[in-house]
Amino acid sequence: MMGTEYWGWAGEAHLREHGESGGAVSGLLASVLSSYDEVIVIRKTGTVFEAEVHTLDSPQGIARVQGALHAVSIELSHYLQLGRKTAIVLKPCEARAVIENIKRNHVRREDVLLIGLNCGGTLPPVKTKEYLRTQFGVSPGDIAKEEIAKGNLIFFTTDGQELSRSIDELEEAGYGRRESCRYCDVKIPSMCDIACGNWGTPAEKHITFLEVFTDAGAAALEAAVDGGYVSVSEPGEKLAAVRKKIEGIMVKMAKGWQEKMLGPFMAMEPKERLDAIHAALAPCIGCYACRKACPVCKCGDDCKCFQADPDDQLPISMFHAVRFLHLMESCVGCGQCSDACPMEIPLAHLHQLFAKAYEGRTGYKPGMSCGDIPPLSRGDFPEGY
Amino acid sequence: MISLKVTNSHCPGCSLLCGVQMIEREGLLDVEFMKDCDINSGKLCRFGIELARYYGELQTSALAGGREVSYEEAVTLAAKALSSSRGAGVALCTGDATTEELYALSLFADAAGLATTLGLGHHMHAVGLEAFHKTVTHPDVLDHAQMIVLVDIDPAYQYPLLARRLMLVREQGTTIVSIGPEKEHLSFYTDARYPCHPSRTVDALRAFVEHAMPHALYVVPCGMYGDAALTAQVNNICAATSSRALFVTDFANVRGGLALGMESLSHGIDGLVASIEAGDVTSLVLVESPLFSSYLDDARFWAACETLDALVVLQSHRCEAYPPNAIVLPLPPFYQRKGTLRNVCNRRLVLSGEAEGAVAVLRDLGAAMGHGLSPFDAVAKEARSLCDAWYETVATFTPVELPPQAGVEGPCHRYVPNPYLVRGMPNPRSKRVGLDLYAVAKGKERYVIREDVAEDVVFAYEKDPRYTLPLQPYE
Repeated sequence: MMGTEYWGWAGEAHLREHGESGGAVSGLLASVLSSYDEVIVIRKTGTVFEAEVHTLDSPQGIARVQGALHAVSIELSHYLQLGRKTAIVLKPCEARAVIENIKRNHVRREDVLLIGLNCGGTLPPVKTKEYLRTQFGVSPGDIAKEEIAKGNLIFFTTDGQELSRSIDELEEAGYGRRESCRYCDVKIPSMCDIACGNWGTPAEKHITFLEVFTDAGAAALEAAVDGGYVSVSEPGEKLAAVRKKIEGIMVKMAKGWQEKMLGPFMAMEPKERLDAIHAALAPCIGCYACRKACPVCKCGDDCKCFQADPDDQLPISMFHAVRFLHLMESCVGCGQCSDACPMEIPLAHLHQLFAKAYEGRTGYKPGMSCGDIPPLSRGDFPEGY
Repeated sequence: MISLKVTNSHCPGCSLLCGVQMIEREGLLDVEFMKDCDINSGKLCRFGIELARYYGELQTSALAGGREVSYEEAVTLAAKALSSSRGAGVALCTGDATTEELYALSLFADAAGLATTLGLGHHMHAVGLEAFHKTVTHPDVLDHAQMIVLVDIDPAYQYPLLARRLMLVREQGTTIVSIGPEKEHLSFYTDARYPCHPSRTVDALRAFVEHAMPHALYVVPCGMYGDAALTAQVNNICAATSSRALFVTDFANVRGGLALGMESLSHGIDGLVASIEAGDVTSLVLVESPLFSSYLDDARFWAACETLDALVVLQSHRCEAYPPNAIVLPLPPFYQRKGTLRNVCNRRLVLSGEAEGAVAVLRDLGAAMGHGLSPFDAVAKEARSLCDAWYETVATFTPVELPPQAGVEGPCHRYVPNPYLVRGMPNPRSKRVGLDLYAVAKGKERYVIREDVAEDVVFAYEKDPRYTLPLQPYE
């Protein structure tokens, strides 16, 4: 089944009904439950803005699993542990973080089944709740479901209303997706074993589009189909092309955001850029929340970023300088550092400045494949680098 | 299958009560960011980030006479000591407890004939409970202020998540002014700064009583060591200008305790220690009040406590040592408890753990002394009803006479140390800074060499020229 695309849906009626897009991911989880030590997912706990990490321990719990809650951006890759066989449902940025952790021997590729979800971006929950209250006059507690479709963010209220706004419009007004999601250019998680989503499926049917990338993914899907957990069919050729087209449009939009958000920094003279970085970092209070939130940084308490003299008088603290260097070839742009910063420093922007420049020079994009060795590690820099 | 337990909780580090998820997995505890929390959008300060470490230092066993004893034996000994105490007694909780626990403590204190205090009696005495507490009636008070005046406070160091809120409201057009010691970070979220030495802030604010902009919001630290004269002065400004005040405290649920009317002393902790030394107070019940490790003059406090007939300590976070006469009853960590909290902005919050905490321990202690306590649900219902009724009333400020200012013993004497700097911090540098502030405040030379701090310099975060500025008179 490897290298192939399918339309899929859950074999069991209740999972088809409760799961998103026909419940194919729920069916897959039900199928792998007995073969892995841990199955890590997001579980909804209240409104569409509230969820928690959850380890599935029974098929009964699958109905509460949430694949794509756009207003929840919990970073799940943190929960993987070395030597533990784990199936995990991930967004592309989380999957990229897992790949980076595999390269650093914090996780073994053969131990994990990565079930990826296509992702057009996630929303900051508090700001989105504020938007609902101020723009629609609706209490966040009255939202039954949310969806991003055809460039619109749509909320469905418990009393049957449908509230929709164009994402472009929202983002111009300072709402919409998290900033890092706007310029993220990985929308289909091809580094996973299987990528799942509703792009390229008939609008009137509840179906998931599945793309298999690895032998492990093929085996998992085959077992799910054989066990009756998932049913599959050939995808319509036209709609499969639509999926690619959607991906292309979203990547193009992301490149536009990259230009808009990172471009001004990149266009600066080096001295001016350095001054801008100094200014951006000046409010730092040394809480290290960015480091705690970073899914790639796993050095522990001995990390070099902690070994600088705390009383140094350097314009950029060694803590940030070491992190810029470390993450230049491993930052996956997930934006967790910006989310965590109590002083609202746009850390993801700053890290991406270095990471995108590095990517531009070397062609290396972190988190895309376990086989990609970072240029700094292999030592074969491009001429003139 | 490996299980993972998530508890939605709030950080006990200060009165902001930031939302946080505590994750238990195979005996290990970790922190997850609770991004949907309206208070902090999941963001945490250093103390919040290190909460798992803080919760890792638990008082797990009961102690009596300096040795481990069974819980039952400790309860019996505590009841006996309290019953046979010859003089007045005080029950003190600085606020790291649920409203239900505070209410249980107040019921217990009533039955046992103890006075109750949150360590803020000097503020209450100066301005009255109503003015102090009923000033903030809406959780979004910061968002609605046209002008915010920061008085003797540097939120970036003391309450970082408050600093963030200030930055955000300033972007929306709120004017933010600071008065007090100059700090580097104030420039990130203030429009104007009036640097002055802490000893001059009360005087400097005098002009505000007549000339300040009306309907402003004053943000003032108001902890155990806070100066009641400053509280009174801000009260008078609010009375004269129809402004409001946000009295920020170091401990989690002070507002819950105040709503229950738990402050019955007319003096603060220093006064309490003096009363113990004078023999006026002979029994003390401490609930989540880690004064043995964090009281400014810990040796004096320790010595005073040794003279008590009864010293009963209900505590979750472990202290390095207790006086030999202390009877210690362990409490579950904050995040494992159930109950409600009120944060500094009057937001009602829920702790979703399962443990009754001090309610259960006080019930056992009360039973051993011959007076019972209702089941948890009944206690919770009564506490909630009292709090709700209290919050529904609206009070106005009335001018008061200024009490004498606290003695100026050194620069920065009025810094209210906060958990971000001192409590449970694994970073010795941060802890040292906090203790430096304590030491300077009390003129002690244990942690800092006085000569390092020039007379005309406001002591700031570090003894670092970048962070210290010459005094400038307020104009």
